[in-house]
Amino acid sequence: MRAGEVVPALAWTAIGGAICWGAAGLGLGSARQPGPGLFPFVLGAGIVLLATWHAVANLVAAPAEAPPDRHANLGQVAMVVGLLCFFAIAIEPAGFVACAFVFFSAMFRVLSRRGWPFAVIASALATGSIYLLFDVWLRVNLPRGSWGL
Amino acid sequence: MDALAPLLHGFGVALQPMNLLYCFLGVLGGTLVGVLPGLGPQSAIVLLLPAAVYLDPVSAIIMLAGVYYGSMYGGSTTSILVNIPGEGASVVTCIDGYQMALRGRAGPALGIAAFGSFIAGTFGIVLLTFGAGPIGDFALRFGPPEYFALMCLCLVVLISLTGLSLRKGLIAALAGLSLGTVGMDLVTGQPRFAFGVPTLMDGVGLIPVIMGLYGVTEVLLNVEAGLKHTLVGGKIGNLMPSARDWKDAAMPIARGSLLGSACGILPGAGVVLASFLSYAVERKVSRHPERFGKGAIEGVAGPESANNAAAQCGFIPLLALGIPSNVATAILLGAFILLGVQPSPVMMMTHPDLFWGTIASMYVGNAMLLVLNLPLIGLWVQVLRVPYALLFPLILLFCLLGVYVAGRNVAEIWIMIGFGVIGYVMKRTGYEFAPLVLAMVIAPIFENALRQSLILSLGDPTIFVSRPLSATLLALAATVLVAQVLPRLRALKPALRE
Repeated sequence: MRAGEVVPALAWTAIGGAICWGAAGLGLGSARQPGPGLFPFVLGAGIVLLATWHAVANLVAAPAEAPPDRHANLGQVAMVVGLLCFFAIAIEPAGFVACAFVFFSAMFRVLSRRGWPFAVIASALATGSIYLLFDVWLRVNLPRGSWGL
Repeated sequence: MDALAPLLHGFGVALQPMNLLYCFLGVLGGTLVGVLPGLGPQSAIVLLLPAAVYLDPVSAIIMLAGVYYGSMYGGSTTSILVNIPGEGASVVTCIDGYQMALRGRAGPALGIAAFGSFIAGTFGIVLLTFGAGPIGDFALRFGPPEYFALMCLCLVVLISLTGLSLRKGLIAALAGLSLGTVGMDLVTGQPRFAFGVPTLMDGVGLIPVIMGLYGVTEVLLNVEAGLKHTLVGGKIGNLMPSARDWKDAAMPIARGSLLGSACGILPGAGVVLASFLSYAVERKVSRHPERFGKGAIEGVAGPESANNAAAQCGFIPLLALGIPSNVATAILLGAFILLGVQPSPVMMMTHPDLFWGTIASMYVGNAMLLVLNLPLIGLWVQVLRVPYALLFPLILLFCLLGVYVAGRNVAEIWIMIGFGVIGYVMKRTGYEFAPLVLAMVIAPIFENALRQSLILSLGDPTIFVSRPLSATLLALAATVLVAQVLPRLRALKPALRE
């Protein structure tokens, strides 16, 4: 069995099943008058069929060689996703300048592994440059927080 | 030849100092966003839109168009030197371009990409100049069954592009088509898979999806891999391809120009499909297909020519009919409307300065790009030498800003992050997202064509084979599919016998 192939295939089967279920609720219609659910239903059914086929084929297949470990920096990946989420949450209440400064500081600190002074100076420069480029020069009104920046 | 006099008038407009300056800024900016991984022409155009409304419409469109076709040139540099596509259309250039660079042939790879792009781009502009009218008429003959057949062909080609696993490619393509069904149903007005989220009523936005998959995912994968800087070391060497290189690349450039032009004209196809299709064709027609993936110059010349021809010809349906052929031209259509101009078949009469000035600026911009790309290659390499630890936060912020500024909607940022994570998981589990993106683009055309055809024929599916054009396209699709499936069936035969 190739678990690395079977698990994602089962996930796709579930996704396809969910699409079929949602599409059936929209109304399938007929060949003369196709309903809004017909096309997504066919697509969902296709995903279910192919993903099941893929899962079964890999259930009976000989195990593949283990791939090299790439999980070394998974913590950094999670950190980057977390910072993106922070930006999405904070951009409107905190404004662009504060939000971008915190985002850059944390990103530079996490990715470059250099000290906080470097991260703070680099993020101040990056935030200032982007603010000047977009807000001042290109006149893109970047969101301002409660303190007007 | 009726187009010659207005084209000369267009040159009069395009060669005005301000328009020349904006053309230069556009192609320079386009090359830069093409060079930088994760930042494509779509995001660059979106970021420039709010500033463009303050410009004269002709200058604004000349600049935004320059960003679009300029990025096609820049994308190859990153693909060849770093093995990361600068934008979607340069994905396939990575395969052989990077291999050429590893073998010490980065110079000829960059050179043939630039020359091929120039030749095909110019071919595309000539076609745009003299063919916009007649080609627009031909495309207007496409009814729903023809569009359905065309989309079938696109899907089959997509499947053939997935390389390793036919099933995985199909699953990704079907998922992309499903994503394209999200939003208001155009026939009944019923919301589908929107879950009451207002942003999803108009469908899943292409910009956050593309930025998520091609910006965020690439950064996440690189962060996971430890930010390895894979820029090819040593000197790039002579950029001029040798006589042998020219001989090998001549036909791929010619075929790429033709294929790219066709993909550019047909709505839904576009630059990414053009480059993939060209690569698939070159591999099929080659006497030595085993060289592909190991540094074949044809694998660089064909796709790079195709994506440039497609970029230029994408303006034919946009300028002549007001129909965008891909995401970038859809954003450009938005720019036209923002500037108070609705592209249509009468635009060349109502806005001759804009119509012919834009076309003429493309000749000028294409020449500027050739001059920019070869002597300034060292500068682009320096841009690529910026440490990833500094570059990636900037790319992510540009993606975040690009998505937010386009709609001033935080939900779009969440969609981008979501697709960044989805793309990361897909890549880690061996699923390619290129078929997903392409299928998502063609999904509305595909579904509408299917439903309209069935309504027209009162549910009779023979409508797809009873019309010559649609039957031809379906036959082509069947041929491509059989060509894909047969070798796999042959490989299965011995195992079944055992």
